[in-house]
Amino acid sequence: MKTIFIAILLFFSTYVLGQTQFNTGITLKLIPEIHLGLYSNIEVQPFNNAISCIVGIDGYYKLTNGNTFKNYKIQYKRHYNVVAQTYLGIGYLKKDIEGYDDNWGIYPTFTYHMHSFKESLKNDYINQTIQQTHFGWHIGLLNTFTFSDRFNFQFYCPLPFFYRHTNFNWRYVNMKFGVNLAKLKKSKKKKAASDL
Amino acid sequence: MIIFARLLSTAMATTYTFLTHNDFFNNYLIINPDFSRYQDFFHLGAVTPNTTQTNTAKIYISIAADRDDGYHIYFEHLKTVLTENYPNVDLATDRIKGGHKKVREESLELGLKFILE
Repeated sequence: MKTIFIAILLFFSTYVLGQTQFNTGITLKLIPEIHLGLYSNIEVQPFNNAISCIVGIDGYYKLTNGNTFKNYKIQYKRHYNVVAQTYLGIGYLKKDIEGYDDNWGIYPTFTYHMHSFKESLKNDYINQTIQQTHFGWHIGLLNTFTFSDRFNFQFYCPLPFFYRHTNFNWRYVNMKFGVNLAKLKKSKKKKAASDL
Repeated sequence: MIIFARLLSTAMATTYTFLTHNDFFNNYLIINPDFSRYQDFFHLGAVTPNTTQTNTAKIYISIAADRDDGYHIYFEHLKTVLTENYPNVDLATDRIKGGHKKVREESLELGLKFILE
């Protein structure tokens, strides 16, 4: 048992940790309404080839209301409107594009999402507040780019598969801007070495 | 006769038909009611016709569980108006989870089942 545990640890430290990209930053969604939030995810290449796995989480908060209540005498108040999703994907990661230390990856993902909101509506005839939370899943496609030694850009889009249960929904489309911490650490080391 | 609504605007037309001329049809399917552009709809509960006590229509209303921007409030308001003003109306409501197609198909299926059984 002890040997198996040590073997797993050795495998993990040699093949997994050595090939890990840790990305974190802000999530931005512009269509149809502006949302802002945070994301973090880990890309791992367990077999030291192009096959890669990604696991991560992101959450974002709705900032605007769109045109729904524009020009109408309805007082609408959004207390909160939050979307959170966690995903797991297996895909392709291409490293060191054209001799640079850049990465490009594409992952079909299985995503579990949560949408929660509380809102009030008031006019001459109605004054109501409602809170709703719902959970669900969908299949998506995540594109990742790491460039200039540290910056990370990702684009996520749900796919219209399993249409009875899931569907394309603008709510879950988002862009992510952040840093690749593994690359950042590496580039700092490189810089320190060149300064010497 | 059944009047049903799949699109948002027709959901409003169905609601309007029931609230203003409720002897036109016996059964109504209202899917995703939307009053955002016609706030006078909120007032319709107060100007219901004289037939409210005798009306025995069957009404099915459903909404997609993930709709924000006030849709659940329209849904709740409509439910309240119907329950308070139409004591003899047979009302069934559902919040349906899933993608748009699933919500549409399931609403239609559940609504027709409720009305025709």
